Amino acid sequence: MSVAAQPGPPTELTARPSWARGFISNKWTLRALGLLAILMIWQFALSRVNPIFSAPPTDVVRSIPEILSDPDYFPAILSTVRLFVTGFVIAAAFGIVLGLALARFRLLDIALTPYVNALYASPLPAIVPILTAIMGYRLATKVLIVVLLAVFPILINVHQGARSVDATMLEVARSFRVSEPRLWLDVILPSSLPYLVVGLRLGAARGMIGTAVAELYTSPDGLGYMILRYGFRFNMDAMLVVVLTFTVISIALSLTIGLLERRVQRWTVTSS
Amino acid sequence: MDGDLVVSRLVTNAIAKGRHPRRRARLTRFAILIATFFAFLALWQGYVTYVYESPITLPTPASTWEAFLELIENGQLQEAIVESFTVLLVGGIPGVLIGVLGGLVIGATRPLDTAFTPYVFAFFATPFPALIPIFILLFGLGVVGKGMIVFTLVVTTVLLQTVAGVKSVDARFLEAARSFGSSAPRMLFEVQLPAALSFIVAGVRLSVGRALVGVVIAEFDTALSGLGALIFRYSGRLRLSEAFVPAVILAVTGIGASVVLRRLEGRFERWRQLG
Repeated sequence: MSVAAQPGPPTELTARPSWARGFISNKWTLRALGLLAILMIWQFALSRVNPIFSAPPTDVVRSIPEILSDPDYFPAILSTVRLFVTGFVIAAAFGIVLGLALARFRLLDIALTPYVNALYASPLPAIVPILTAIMGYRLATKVLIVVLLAVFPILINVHQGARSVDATMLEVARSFRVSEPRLWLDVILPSSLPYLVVGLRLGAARGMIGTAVAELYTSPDGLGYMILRYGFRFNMDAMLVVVLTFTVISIALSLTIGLLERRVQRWTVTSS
Repeated sequence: MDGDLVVSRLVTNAIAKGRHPRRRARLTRFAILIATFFAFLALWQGYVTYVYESPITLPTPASTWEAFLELIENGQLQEAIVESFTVLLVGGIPGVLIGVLGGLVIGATRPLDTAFTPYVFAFFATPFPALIPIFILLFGLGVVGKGMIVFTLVVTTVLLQTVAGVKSVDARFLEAARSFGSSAPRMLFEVQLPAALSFIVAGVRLSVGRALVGVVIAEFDTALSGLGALIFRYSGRLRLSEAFVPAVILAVTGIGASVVLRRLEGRFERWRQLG
């Protein structure tokens, strides 16, 4: 019988007490510790950088009730969300249609795809003042800014998705003499869904950036207007609360689309 | 239009050279691309000159070109380019360095990753234009304020990508290094860093886009210096052709950086794979 040391469960002597091990390896305690560390650095170090405009976390938390009771706060959230949703829905519609068109028509693909990629890579908010000068301080201008930012990731991903459809599926469809419209609706569109969802997630993130730009740099409105208003009063705490609102909206959006993504992926895995 | 001439010359060249079918296909593609570009310019010029009616003079390709020459001649464009790129470099280079170092350490240390990455991600998810007024209040309207904006945008993006890169390193690489008795720091710099390089370059590419937007927006706010200020001031005076020139310069910068970094990304992608 060999008595060679075997890697097994740690013995009582070497192991840390189980409560300590649990404490360190639990991801929620770790995250709480991380948050605590960030808040400490913010409270004690960052506030020294510029004492006039500093906003230590304690002050920010204290200003939350003040903002919640501001009669402009909830209407501002509503108008920000409305602007985003309007722009995003239009961007999604355009993105899907154009993406499918690029995948369907080879000439369009050759002629336009490099320009689509170029527009995706260029800092589009640079033309916001020009757009505003041409179109005026209207809602349409803001919606256009959101659409411009959100549309390209959706378009590019739909295009890629439609191009990477499984060749066997196309062959099967063809051998059953499926008509062209049915082929697109029943085969190509469903199998490019995972790509579409990725595009939607990226597009939503950029659309939120567009929303913030539109609300800060055209006619101030919504949460962007609240940030500027508190900024004029040098009310740093309140500004941060409004920015955090933006963060929460974005994360909620990203999580929702992430949920959709998982569902779509599960569905494609089982179907193939 | 001389544009059409250029296109037809390109097409004839393409046909003359195109003995190899594959090369010919590529040249045809290129000719179609160029043709689309000039067709777009011609349509734009034609629409504004003959169809559009409004008190505001819209920029056309021709007027933008004139404005470009004018802005070069009076030196405003060069000055603005230097100002904007100073901010980009002052904030961007430390941002990349600290982002990579921080990302390597966080990515290789599981507890740090669990403790901090979610918050970096939350910051990354914040629509950053909303933060710019705060940065200006904190750090002022000058190079420091704008540099801090660029730094923050770059450092978060690069850090998140580096963490993702380090975590995606093939476990067999790590095992091999460990069985040769490699120390943790050596492993970090000689195994995990090279394998994560394509992710890091992707992070730099993404952060260039964000940084350009950040700089331009911050310059709208101050309206004092840089390309954003040129755009903002000329738009305010409804001299849109002049306003369009810096926007084109910024677009070319973004596109150029994206193309170059994508190439680099592809090259480093090979280092991630075995054999």
